[in-house]
Amino acid sequence: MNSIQRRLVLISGLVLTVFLSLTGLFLERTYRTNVMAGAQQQMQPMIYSLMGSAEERDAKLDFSSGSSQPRLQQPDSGLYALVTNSDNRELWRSPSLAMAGEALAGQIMQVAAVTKASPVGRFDFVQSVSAAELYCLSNRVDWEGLSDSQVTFSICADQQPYARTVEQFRYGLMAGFGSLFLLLSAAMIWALRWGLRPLRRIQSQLNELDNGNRSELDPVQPVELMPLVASLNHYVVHQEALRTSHRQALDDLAHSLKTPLSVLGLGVKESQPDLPLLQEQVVRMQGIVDHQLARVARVTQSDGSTTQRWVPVGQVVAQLLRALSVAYRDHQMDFVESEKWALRIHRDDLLDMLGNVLENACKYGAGRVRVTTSASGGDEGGLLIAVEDDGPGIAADYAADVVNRGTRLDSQTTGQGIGLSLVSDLLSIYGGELLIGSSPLGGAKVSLVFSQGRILDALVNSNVE
Amino acid sequence: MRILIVEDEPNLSTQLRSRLTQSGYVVDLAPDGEEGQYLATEYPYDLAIVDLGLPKLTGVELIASLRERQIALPILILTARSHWRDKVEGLEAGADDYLTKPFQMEELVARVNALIRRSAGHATPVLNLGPLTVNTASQQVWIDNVALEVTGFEYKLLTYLLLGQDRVISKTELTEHLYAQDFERDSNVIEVLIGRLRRKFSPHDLIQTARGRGYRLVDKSAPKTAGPAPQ
Repeated sequence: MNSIQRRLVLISGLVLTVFLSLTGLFLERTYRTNVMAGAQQQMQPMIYSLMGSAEERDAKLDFSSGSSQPRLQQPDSGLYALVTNSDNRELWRSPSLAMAGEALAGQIMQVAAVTKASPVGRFDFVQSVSAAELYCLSNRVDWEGLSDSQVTFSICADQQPYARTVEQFRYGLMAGFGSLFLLLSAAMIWALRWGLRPLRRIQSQLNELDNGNRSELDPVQPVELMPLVASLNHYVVHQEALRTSHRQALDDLAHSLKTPLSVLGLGVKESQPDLPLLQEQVVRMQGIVDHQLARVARVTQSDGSTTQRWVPVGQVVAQLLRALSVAYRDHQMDFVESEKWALRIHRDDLLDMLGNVLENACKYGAGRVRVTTSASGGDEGGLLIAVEDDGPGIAADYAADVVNRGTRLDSQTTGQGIGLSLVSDLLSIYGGELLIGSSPLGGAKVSLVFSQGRILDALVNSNVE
Repeated sequence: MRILIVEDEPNLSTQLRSRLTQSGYVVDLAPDGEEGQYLATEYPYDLAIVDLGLPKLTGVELIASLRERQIALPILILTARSHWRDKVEGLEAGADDYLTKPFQMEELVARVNALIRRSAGHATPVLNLGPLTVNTASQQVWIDNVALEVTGFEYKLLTYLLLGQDRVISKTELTEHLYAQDFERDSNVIEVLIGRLRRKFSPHDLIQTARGRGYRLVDKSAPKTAGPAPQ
């Protein structure tokens, strides 16, 4: 159960079901009680009316004048009356009971017998269910002038009409509460979705952050989430600052190591020209410092995907060619761009990779340099940046050494090797590939293959530098 | 030729000065960006070597401020940082070339020579004027294809005149470019050196005196090109 929305839906659904069921049960019970009380209230005047219709004659009760209740006269009317004496002997029964049979009369007789234990004048309401389902109301009175003054009047009514009313009420209740349940559930789900929308928005912004399409989370969020968003943004900024400070520290370290090494190297060469071992070791130290510092700097800088942006490749190439054409004024440098490509990368890393390759092409070429960008033709698309020159080219076994990282790296100091091995290292961080071949221009063709290249037009809405 | 080195590491700047002096350059040192800015503004240098990691004023700031003041001397940047952003920033600020530390002294001298030549409009290290040929890489001089022995000062004077071909160069300018900042100057020395060079070039009369203004190198045997009519 790892979803907040599912948890909330489940618990809300449970609470709603229990609440509506208990409320329904309570309402049904109350209604049933009310119906019974109604039945009792209906029967009480009937007993009085029966008493009114009885006449005392020869110390006995006479019902010859007939009851005022028409239903007592009709067969199967569902309303019955019985009058008994203190010995529970029948004094009179209504015509409706007379026609209903002895079994029913016996059932009502039993109800009347119960009343004998009650004080005189009290109304007893009884549900009787032996032969038929009846509501019965009995009243024992002390009738002066009779030979047996204890007389019990009992009126019984069929339960069915009342039960039907209760049943109808129950159906109505279920339909109403069912609709209410559906309505409340829909409202609750909508409210949950609406309430959790900011979390979903943050989730999508985090994805964008991870993809490099965003530099921070939108700071305007619901009050409850603002501290979280502020903390996350602070974390992102802090990480970036940390990376910058690492880079700065490494740059300073490089500066403070390389300058004395330069002094040492130049000094040894000047003052101890006959000590080739010392010179060689100084050169080797220079190479190691150069390579290892550059390597640490790249790893520190390149592991934070949140600081990577979509960088337009054309801009970086043009910037480098502009800068290099100052230093290599007589070179002819061409840039052939198939589309406006972008790479998700640290701009400095792309500058370093292309800078090293282009510098090699300028340094070792005879004056012509050509940069081409094109689709790499991989399964997921991707970009190939090729740098060609008209120099002597790179020997195949040497190229293999450079591409197979880890070999010969710390023994190299100058030339194509160190530059290209740095490029190869850096490319591997981005999952790219370095290809070294021959160019139709006559020299080397060094290709940088990236799998995540995209055409810039497709990134209109993304965070492009 | 006079070079300004702006470098905060005293050992390195001393080594650079020593090597460049051997190559015939006059070298001044500045230990920080502000001093470098002051010297480059006040004195006519032919080239500046600027370290990017300088105290007070960074190398990039120094270069940008010099270019802002229309000071067009060629600038070579030295950087210990191998990041291309630094090199690109330096070149975009107005530097003309770069070298990453640690470097080979020969490469630095070659770059310095090339930059100075390039700023004078020469693509190759060999400079020609009629019968005179000077190889700035090997520092050799020929006249009529015969090697000519010249002293260090004579060579400096000759290359300065040659790089400023067709331009009258005053004695003051020559003095400023051939002597270090703290050197006691004597303009008679220039006259003596010019006299010696004239004798060595003889019978060719390549050094012309513009009276009261200075000297210039001209090849009188070359056909004259049409110029603007004299006023």
